[in-house]
Amino acid sequence: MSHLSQETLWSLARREAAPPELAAGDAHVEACPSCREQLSQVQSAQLMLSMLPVPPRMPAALSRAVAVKLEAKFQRPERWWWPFESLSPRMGFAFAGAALAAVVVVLMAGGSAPTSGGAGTSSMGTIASGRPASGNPATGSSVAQAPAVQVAAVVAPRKLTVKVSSVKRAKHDSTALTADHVLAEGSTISTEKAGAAALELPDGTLASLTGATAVALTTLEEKQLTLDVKQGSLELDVPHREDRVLTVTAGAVTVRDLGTRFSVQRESERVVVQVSEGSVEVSVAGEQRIVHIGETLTWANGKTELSTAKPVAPVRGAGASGDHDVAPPRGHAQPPASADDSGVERWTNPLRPETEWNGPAGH
Amino acid sequence: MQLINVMTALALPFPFMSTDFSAVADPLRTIALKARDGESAAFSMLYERTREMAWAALYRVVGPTPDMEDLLQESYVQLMRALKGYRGDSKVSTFLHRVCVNVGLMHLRSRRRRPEDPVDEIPESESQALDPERRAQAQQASVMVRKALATMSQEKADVFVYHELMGLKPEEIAELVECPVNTVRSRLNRARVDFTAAVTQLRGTEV
Repeated sequence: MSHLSQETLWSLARREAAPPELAAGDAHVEACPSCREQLSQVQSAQLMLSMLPVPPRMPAALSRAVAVKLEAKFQRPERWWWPFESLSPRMGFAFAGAALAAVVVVLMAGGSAPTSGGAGTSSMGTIASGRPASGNPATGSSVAQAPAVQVAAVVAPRKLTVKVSSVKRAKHDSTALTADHVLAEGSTISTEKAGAAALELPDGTLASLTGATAVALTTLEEKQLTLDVKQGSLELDVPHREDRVLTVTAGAVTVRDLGTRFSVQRESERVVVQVSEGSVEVSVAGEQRIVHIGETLTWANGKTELSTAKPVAPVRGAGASGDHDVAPPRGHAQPPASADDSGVERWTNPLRPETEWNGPAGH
Repeated sequence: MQLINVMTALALPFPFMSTDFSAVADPLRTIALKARDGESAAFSMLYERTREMAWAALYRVVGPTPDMEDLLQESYVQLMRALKGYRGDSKVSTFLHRVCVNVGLMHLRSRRRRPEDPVDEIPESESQALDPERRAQAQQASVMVRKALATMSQEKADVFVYHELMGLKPEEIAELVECPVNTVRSRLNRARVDFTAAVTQLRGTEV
């Protein structure tokens, strides 16, 4: 005789089956001790289940307590480090990045924007755009803009440029030089025998090249301006500035400006430094000398001679043709050399037109 | 987009979705979807609408216990985790029942591993309608049932609780445990055997 299934036993205990099935089950249990025992155990188990308390209503205090805890857990931003609930961190970082980029662009644009006078632009912009920058030689405005881009200058020195004010028969490297040409560091300007050129350095210095002169723009930085006279005559009108060093080299001779007007003339074995205003420091063969106003230092054949003689005229051939129709830089007079009635060629100092030269030394 | 919002708000089925209409018509569906998407107000509303359901389900599994607050909180934490994969194609109450039963059974098993814990007593406030004798019997029954459940495997205990304590039909249990109805029936029979044996043993121990 087969025993009753568990399902049937549970149905019998609950009296849930159809009457015929209940009758058949009761008959089986009556005749089967094992199933009777099983049914008794099922009834006990069901009694336990039936005695379980019915769930009461949820206590209000418990409901509130759970609500508070859940609110604290789920209503707090998941990212506790991100205070902006209405803005996702991804969007926030995107905005911040865009704002930072805008600030950088504005700073860079501010560094290259014209100043109030509109005369100068920063070389930072020049470097970025490849276009030349100009400075106001009268005010030195291009240098005055330096604080706006000092951060960039710490990383790499700003490279400044030199503007050509006027020019005649001169070349920039192998290219014909024209007025308003802008020259970068490393350029070499050379004038023909009958040529001349006037330059505006970024610190406001005015430089004049007479005929048959070659000058290299060795260093054009905010703190350092260096010109190298390869040959001929270079005259400079230098505003006094403490924030940069202007140096002119001519072979073994190095002239450091101390705020002055001076000229450097170079022949193959001879360099003449003549100071017409202020003073300069001249270094030759490791020896420094201060050359004051009215003094002329001549270095020739390895020897240095300091004299207070008359100003030395440009070396022979430099502007000797008298064909000085080059417009000088601002503040400069026309630097012609003219012949008077006596036929003696008279020279005019290009930097000080009121000063009349008797002519080049030995002329 | 506006049509989708309207249909979502009205809990209407979308034509491109083959889904359970009872789930789509679930009044909790829209709230649960919003809660899933991080709307804290929707989660608060979901809690208000379902807290009694969760309370009753947990109570049937674990009985009166001072841990009920923690269990409820844990149930809703797990509900929120479960809702992350919720696509609106099943009833929210199904999610909640399953979570509460799991949390309750886990609690019973942890209690079984810690026999030193005191036996939970039915609070006075919940048994005022019971006479002392009936109250003592209810207390004894509650303890015995929970101990018996704690001895059962997870699968059997789930089916047994759903059917014997919560009154669900095998078809409903099949949806909850995601298995065929026949599997549920056979699993329920085995669970009844285990439960009966456990209760018999517990009664013999007491005697």
